[in-house]
Amino acid sequence: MRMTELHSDCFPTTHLLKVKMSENLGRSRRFKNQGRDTEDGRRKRNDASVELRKVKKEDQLMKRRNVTDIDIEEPVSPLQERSGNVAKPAMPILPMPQIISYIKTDDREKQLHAALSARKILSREYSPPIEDFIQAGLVPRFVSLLGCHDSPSLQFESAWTLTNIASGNCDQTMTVVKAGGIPKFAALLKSPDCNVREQCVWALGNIAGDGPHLRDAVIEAGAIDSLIALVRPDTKVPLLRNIAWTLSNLCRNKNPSPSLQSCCRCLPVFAQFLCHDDAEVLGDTCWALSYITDGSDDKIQAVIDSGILPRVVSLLSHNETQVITPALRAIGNIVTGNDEQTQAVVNSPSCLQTLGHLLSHSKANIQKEAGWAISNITAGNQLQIQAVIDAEIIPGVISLMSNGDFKSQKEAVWVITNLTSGGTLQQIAYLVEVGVLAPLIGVMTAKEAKTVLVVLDAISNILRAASKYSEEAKRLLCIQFEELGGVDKLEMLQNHDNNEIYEYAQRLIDTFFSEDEADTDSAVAPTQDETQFGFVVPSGNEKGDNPPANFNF
Amino acid sequence: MGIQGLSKVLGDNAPSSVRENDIKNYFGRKVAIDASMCIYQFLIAVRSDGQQLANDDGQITSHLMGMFYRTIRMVDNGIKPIYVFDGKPPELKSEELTKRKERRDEAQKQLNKATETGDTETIEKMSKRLVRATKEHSDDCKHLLSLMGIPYVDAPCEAEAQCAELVKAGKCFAVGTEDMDALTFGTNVLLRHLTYSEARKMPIKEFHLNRVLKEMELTQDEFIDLCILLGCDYCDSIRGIGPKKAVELINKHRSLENIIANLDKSKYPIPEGWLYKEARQLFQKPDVTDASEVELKWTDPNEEELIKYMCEEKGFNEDRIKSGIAKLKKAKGATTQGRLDSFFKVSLSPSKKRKSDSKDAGAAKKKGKGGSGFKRGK
Repeated sequence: MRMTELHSDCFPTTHLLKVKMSENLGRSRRFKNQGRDTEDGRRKRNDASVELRKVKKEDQLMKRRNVTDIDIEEPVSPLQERSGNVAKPAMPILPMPQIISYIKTDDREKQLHAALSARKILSREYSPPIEDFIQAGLVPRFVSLLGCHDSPSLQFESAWTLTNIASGNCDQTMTVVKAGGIPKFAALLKSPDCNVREQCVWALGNIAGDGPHLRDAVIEAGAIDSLIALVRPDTKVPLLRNIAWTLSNLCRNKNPSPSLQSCCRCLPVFAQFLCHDDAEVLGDTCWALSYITDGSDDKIQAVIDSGILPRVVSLLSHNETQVITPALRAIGNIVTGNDEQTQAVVNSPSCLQTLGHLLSHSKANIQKEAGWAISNITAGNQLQIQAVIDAEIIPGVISLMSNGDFKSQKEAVWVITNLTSGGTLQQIAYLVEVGVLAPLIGVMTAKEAKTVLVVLDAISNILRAASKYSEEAKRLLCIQFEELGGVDKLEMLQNHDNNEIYEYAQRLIDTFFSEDEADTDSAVAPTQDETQFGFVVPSGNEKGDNPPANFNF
Repeated sequence: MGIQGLSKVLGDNAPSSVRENDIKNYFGRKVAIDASMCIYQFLIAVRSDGQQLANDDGQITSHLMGMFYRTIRMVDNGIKPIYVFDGKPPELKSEELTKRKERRDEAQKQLNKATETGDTETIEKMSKRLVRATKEHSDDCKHLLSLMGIPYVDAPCEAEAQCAELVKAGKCFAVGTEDMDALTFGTNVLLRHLTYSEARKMPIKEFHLNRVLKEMELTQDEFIDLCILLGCDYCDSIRGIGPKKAVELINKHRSLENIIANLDKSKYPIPEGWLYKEARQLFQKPDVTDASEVELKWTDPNEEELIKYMCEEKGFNEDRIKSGIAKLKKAKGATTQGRLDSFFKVSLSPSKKRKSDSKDAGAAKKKGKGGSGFKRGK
């Protein structure tokens, strides 16, 4: 009690809130907490946070004392909570033989003691002895205890024990499934006890996360609808987190991937989750969306049709990496879809600009993923390429190609190669204008053969574009390419181990830089400043109805 | 013929692998064409008043007519065709061939009956069923092709398999056939309706194997097993397993061995002495001539000889043949330019989009629950 008072004193704001709450009592009673006493709720929450503080304090004390006596009771189990104010003597953790003998009795007290001990042992962070429990043949027993509807505490402790066993490797998870865990957990999602419900959500998440097979088994047990039914306006955040994560596992994994139908069932609740402000709920929801969109175009379409795209785009600007990463992955997956689906992303307000900003995010992985997403947009049609250019993100791509880590550089190269293979002459000229050549030549000597080929593609596309326009444009571009050291590098690549690279380099030299091609006669040397050459392209479309624009580079 | 219902399965399960395209878009592409299938097609389709075309001596000329004009149609659109002729059928196919023969015998019976009663509709239907492409037909066509300057290849065994080999080796862009098992043999691109007549206005249907595998999340071996399950020419399939069930089974069990091990045999009896392993082997390593030993050369048509063969011998109208030859000559000049991409890079993928490849991105798949994590308070 002393603690509670202390707590209220420290936070005078709660008083203010309290007053406000009582003023509004009449109104608020009408909805959300209908039938409940808000004052009572508030007091409970206060108590809860005090309880948590106590735990934390004890934890810290323990650390300081350097004691790790697991015997000391943490008030984490509803067992103690339910026992009310009557202080019960702490139950010591039983050793394994006693757990085995207690769990087999019909005595609820003993069973409970055994289950509690089991879950405590399995809750230790460092290598919990899952295998010992499996070898002792206890899994079927715990599964059958899930059916003790007269003792929610026992159901809860058993569910927790099984959750942690199911968190092990495939074989370990399988023991829980073989003992008939899935239908029991699925049924308990409707348990009257909130702790039991929540624990079963988690257990099912672990089972579904094992792979496509068990995922489908959980889906067939009807878990999706029951999970969705648990989402109500007053559902607490920890439970929401569990639900979001478990649902994400139900949308996850391939070979085969989950059915379109079951993904579609989850989408409305994901839309709801996206309006939440808890980073963990947002993160897991975005992961779920990323799993769904990492599939066929009809799944991508279902996600677009659910109307969540604008919200996911806005999450790209979230301040937590755990939200940005999956949101970005989902957007990146959507633009691997068909032109229309890509266009839906392009049309999302400020999406391209945000992707551009992410190219210089502090996390290298996010830079890379942003590059990947953009590369799939420049793999689209010419309007989409133009949208990327108009969003002024190409300079960011070019700087990523020079300064990013290798994975990011590769993605930047893809952006350029895709753009040069599908873009108009003018769009390609724009690239040259903003200085793509030097960094592109820089990555010509990358270690990875595949990347070199992609770079050569880009270079070949650019040279061809210039040739398509005019002999003069080609000549000027070739000179610049040579001055930037590109030809030297092509010659180096002629000695490359990889046959394809060597042939490609040779072909480019033959076509664009062979003796009779490179006219070094001073009479046709550029009249402009030595460092500035122009290659003139029509500014409109390739047909060139519009007056030509001169791009200097 | 081919794989039972495969095109429908692909349409349902891998829609992105199928697309329609105008014949013009294959400019400069080399396409390996299943000649035996074409000839059969021509014998059935190229008719006048329900009768096959014939010259004054009564020799059938439907196949030559089809071969000549439809090849010109392709060449006119910039396609470089290579015809591949069937060799000896594989032994595994004998059962299928027996079945076909039985069907033909049955058709013959009905034809005889219909001729007696004068039922013209049945006569036409049955005589179409009786059509067979013979060695003579093939020889006629080979002769015609060589005069036209179009290359052809004699396959040691199945033509589709040889076609697929040419595509796999990069010598051709696609296989042109109606027979879907070219995909099972591993060709990346299959074109249907390529040899249809212009008048049918049928767009080319393009199937991409890489997209099939990607979208259905199968490996080539798993795809082969799926095809065997759907029903191929080389062994029986399991009764009662339709396309839907077949896809489901392969997704779940990933191989025929596993499927057999897990199948309820009372409901789905496995055919006795089922030769699925042999059929699979045939798809994986068919008897083909190595593509490197195949030389493909398109030459100028031999005008004089063509007119002699087609007009004098086979009785075709000389003016028409001449105008056909003119088209061949014109196209020859145009296609030497080739496609830019075949010079620089052969990009067979219909899309430049790249799916994410970091396989294990995502949240934790499983989480143990600690003793004092974020715990519910009270």
